[in-house]
Amino acid sequence: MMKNIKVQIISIFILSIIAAGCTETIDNIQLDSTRPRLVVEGYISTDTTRQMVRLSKLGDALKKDPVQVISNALITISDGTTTFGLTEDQTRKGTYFTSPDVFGVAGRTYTLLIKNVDINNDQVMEEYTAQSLLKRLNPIDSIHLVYNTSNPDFKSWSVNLYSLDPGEGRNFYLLKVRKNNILLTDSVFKYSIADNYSFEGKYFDGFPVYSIREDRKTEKLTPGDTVTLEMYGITEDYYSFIYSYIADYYPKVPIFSGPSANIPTNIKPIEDAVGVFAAYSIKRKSVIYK
Amino acid sequence: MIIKTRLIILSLLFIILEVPVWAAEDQPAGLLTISGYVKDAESGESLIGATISVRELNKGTAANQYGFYSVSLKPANYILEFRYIGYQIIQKTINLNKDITINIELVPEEKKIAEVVIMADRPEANVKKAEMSISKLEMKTIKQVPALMGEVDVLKVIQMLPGVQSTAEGTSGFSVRGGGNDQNLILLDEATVYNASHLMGFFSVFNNDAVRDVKLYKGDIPANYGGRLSSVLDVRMKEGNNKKFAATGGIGLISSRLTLEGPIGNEKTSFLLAGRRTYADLFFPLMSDSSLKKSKLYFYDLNLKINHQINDRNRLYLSAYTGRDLFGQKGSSDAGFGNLTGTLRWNHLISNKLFSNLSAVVARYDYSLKMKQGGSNYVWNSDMLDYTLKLDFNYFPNPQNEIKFGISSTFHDFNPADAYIEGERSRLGAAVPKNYALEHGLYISNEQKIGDKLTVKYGLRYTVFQNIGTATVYTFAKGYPNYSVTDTTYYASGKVFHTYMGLEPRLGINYTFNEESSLKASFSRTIQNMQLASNSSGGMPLDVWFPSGPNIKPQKANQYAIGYFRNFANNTIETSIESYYKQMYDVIDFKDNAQLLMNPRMEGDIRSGTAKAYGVELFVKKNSGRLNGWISYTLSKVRRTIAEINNGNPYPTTYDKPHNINVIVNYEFSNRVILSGNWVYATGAPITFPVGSYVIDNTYGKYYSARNGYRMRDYHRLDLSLTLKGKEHPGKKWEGEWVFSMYNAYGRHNDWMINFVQDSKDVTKVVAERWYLPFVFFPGITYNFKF
Repeated sequence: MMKNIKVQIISIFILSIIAAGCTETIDNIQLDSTRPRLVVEGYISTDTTRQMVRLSKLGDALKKDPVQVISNALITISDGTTTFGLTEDQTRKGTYFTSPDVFGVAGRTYTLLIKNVDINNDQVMEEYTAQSLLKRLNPIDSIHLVYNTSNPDFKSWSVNLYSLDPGEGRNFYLLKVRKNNILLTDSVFKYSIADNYSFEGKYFDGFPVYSIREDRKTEKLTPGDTVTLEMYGITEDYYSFIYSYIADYYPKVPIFSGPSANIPTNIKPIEDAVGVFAAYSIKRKSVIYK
Repeated sequence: MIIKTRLIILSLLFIILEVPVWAAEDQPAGLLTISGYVKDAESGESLIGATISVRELNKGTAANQYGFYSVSLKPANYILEFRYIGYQIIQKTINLNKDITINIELVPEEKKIAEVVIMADRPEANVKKAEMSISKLEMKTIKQVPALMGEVDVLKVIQMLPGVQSTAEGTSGFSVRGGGNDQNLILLDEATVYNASHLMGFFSVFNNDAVRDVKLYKGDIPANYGGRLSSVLDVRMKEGNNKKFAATGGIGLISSRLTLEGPIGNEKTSFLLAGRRTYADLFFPLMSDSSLKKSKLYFYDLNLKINHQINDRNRLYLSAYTGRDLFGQKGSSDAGFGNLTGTLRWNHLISNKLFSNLSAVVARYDYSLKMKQGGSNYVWNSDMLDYTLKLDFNYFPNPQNEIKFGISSTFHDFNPADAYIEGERSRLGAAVPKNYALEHGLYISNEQKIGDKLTVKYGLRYTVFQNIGTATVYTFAKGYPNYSVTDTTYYASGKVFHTYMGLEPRLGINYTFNEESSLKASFSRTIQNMQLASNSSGGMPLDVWFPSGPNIKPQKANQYAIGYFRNFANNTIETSIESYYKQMYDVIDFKDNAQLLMNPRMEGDIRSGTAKAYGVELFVKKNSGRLNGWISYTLSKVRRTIAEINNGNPYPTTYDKPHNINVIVNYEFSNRVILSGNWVYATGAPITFPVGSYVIDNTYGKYYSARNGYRMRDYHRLDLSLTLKGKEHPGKKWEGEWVFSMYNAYGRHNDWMINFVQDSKDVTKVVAERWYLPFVFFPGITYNFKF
């Protein structure tokens, strides 16, 4: 659970360096292109809902061209006994949904199968697969808001978590925060992630998850606002994916950053695809700001 | 293999234990010994490397690191010449009919012209000495090189030597002949300095006023050094003036320094105390920015040295260093990191031909971070601590041979990360368990002159590295993207659970054609058991060291080098061409997107393989005259091949810069006005660029080229400085000089990093952004003084 703290401490170092740096845009930088690859974003959760898979094609490095979605794919998600088919949403091409009554079950391994895709236009249809274990998760006992004035630039409300880690080995968490049901952590780089190393089977006794900042218009709390914490029990693969994605999103600094590298994927064949398929449990708890 | 190794150990032990006994006895060949110390007449400082020549025999020797020399000759009359660059030569006529001691004090020459830029011990030393791939820097040279903000720095000058690359602009990190920043052993009075950087690397830990001697071994590393693959940077602190009280200091834009030195009681004891502190943060409270008002950002250094001559045969030296960077914001964060070293040495003259030194060394690097979040104070500490005991001997049996041998043992105590919530007994967890290791070294070497033209230097180092409990060792199964832990083994306190042993032969040959030219060749094998968890190009304060062990093998390197050395114009112009080939084994790198900090299973993120580096180094320097300086050109290539990185294909490291030119020029208009300039050119550093893009949950993701598949633009920069010295008067005690400097004098925006970020004008698009350091046309001014 120290990951959050670690990331913040490192960011102090990085920000001090960034503050010292100057930037200028490079016009006409010459970048190579690479062969086509399938981009997959797919999830199945314990919520009873329309489970989603989104398909697109790898774009150019500078995003000069619009994203090319992949239509007409044949997609299924299976837990070994039951197979759910997904159909393409005709208003959002490239996005596929199950029926709204589908939910995942903790302890089961889900397999994503994608067919009828010819990403490299060689007239041969390819097949992509991915697997993810849906991990068990204990409920959130409570969440507390703690006022934080330690940063002179902004005051904030820290959303603190109280919950028991299930133990049974390493567990990984994704934590999202909503205000009045609007997701504040609406992008990967805003996600908060943690693991249970050295906390295995122990109680998270007020672990700070997210700072709701008063200087941000969309975040500033007013009496009556509902703050919801969503805790996702995720796999190590998905954790690594998010960790790498966040690290890659921020600018690199020579003193601190390792070499740029592709985000690991669990979509196979890995040389022909990028993205993620994740199964997870979700638990929620809300508190009203008075 | 084990029996063979034990035999070697026993043989070496025999040599170590027996040689002092027979060496201390009178020599059988009827030779008599002249021995003593060579010192500076003004300060009493030992003159390391001063040469002692026997004119009649055209032979001689050099003073060791404590200024001691010994030469054994047949009874006769001789003329001895004592030399040290920048000092007047002393000749002594002796009638050698018994062992004699001659302690010499050399007087500095009156400065007529600017001093040499890289010091040679005598004009033709670069040609005659068997050693190659070595650079020795003199502090007054370093002080003349234009520097960022006027803060001259040892490591920044090191980066301008042939075969040495800066890992990134502004940082103290350096790469030697294709080696990594982690492969350099940095010693301060024999204590390892694990992180030589201040302020993220813009400054190094070395206070020039406290440093006497700097040597960089790029290859051909003597057998008495071990533990790193690519280089040894041996920094020796001044001993302290034992003749008179003296003070040296400087006042600069961002820091000031003061060094005090003098005798304690009589000439037998002297001290040196040096301090330095930056003070930009003292102005923060005056700033309007609220976060700056509460900010803290500075570093300091303290050096202390005391030496005492017990008698003619025994001397004691105590040296200590502490330095720390401190930064944070009042009420929210607090951080600090720094080194602490201490060395106690006892020089003992067993006989006139056998010199010994016993050192007890302690070295510590630590960092401490504290952060307030969610109503709690989170604390994260890390440190590593070494205790070393070392015994070295120099034996001078005759003018043809100089034998060195010794033994050392180091206890390493690693505490990679200790994290907890302040005020709570329940820890957040040890984060990463502590571990321990013992590292032993045993060596013997000889520099042997064969005839007038050939000198052979050969040595052998034997290293033993033992992991000891308590320890937690994971067994990993390969996988993608992460290795999984299949088993965990716990070892009890004090149990040696894993051992690595290795032999490191070293060989050097010098064939001297004449007084002005020679051909040299060398081979060295080096082994590195200490590993650095860092995959950034520059190295950062949070990097931790960890030992080789069951999962990580020690790194090894074989380096072959050949060089031709030629002097011109009565040795005032030195030239050399050296070529090297270095093959490295079990070098480590980190998997893509590795997590190195506070990761107990970090060894599962390490990948190892091979690397090879080769290159040619050209060097021309002019030692004297109003116009002096050096030009170096390095042509080099380095590639790593590691399975699971870059699909197993070879890739260039970030410090692979095929063409590197360094020019340093000093011009003395008069005794009081010196203009200096340096120009640096290097091929752009390799970098990984995106070749594709995608979006996951509203966030831009990049698909990358092969590792380091692109290069940044070529790097070049000109720095200038002007030194104005005060007038000299007979008897004037105060000497002052102003140094005006201009860093990046033609204002080039060199690529520091290239990032791909969302276009601020159109967030659906991405642009490439050049990051450059703000040090453009950057002035500096320093006032230096001494009295």
